[in-house]
Amino acid sequence: MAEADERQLLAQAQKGDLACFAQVVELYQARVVAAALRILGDRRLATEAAHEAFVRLYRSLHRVDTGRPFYTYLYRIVVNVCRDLAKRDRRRAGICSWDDETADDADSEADVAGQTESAEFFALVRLLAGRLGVKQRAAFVLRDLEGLEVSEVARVLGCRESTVRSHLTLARRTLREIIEREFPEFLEGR
Amino acid sequence: MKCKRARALLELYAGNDLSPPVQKRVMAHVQVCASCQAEYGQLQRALKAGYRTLARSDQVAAELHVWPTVRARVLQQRRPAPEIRFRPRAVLVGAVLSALLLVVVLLVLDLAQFPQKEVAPRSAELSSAIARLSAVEPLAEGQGTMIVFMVDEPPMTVVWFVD
Repeated sequence: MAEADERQLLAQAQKGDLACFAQVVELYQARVVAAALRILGDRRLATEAAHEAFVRLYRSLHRVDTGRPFYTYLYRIVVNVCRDLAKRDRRRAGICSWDDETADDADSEADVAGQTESAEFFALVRLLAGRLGVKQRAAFVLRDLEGLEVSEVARVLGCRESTVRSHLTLARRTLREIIEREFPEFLEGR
Repeated sequence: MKCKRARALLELYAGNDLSPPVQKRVMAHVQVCASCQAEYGQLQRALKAGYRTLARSDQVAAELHVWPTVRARVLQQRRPAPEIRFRPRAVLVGAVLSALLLVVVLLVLDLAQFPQKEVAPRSAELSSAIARLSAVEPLAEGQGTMIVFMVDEPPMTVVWFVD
């Protein structure tokens, strides 16, 4: 969709047009869910994060400046929601063990084609999550997987560009270590 | 640039995230240093493999449809507030409390704005009126007594016949 059309869609949504807001959600849902999945590594949490992010977006639509890139605003909401959910999930850790979650995910992933690929994805994200904080993961996901510029990532995370670079260094180093140690078969390039 | 410094920057160099002059210096070093070149190659392979694996989330994400849930939650927020139910007991308690409050307010205002009037002068007026009893004249036998009062304010004479 052209940038002008997107801007018009947002303006209509700001006026309370629910059909236009539905189109905004439709337009961004895949990116939002993918980003949340890559940050959280849990399908249930990522879906919850996407729901919450769009509801928060709806509540704060009046604050969206249609003259500025919308996706940075949306990603900011997504990262904040992911951080809240990760915090809540850590608090729940005593009730719901890691093994329970893995089993739950394994069940829910059963109906998805390419089970093994999904399992590898979730395993990798979980290993990353075990060694990186939410902001570090978010910086890595936004820059390396979503393709945002460092300055845009800094704006989304509300930090300096130098901090983003520091997060990126650590995240890439960690990813390399995990791939080399846990998934050496990936290096052969399938 | 020394190997130690170049290797510390390799991760940012791989993502083209260094400033142009530093990016050039790292590139110049990697091109001439076999050890750093090998290190960079390994890093690139690992990152590519990682990105390939992480990109699989796109397939999972494409299968999820968030709008039905978002729509339900948004509509719930838009719904007007529920009507207030009529509760007789609450209304009665409210009315009594309001009346009490009104009485208290009126009392406070009355005490503040209209100081209590002195009773003594009125009593003095009355006694003065009685003191101005002018005459008590017995009439003819069997016709009673005439009592005359002189009142100053308003000026008048009051004649009272008593059997």
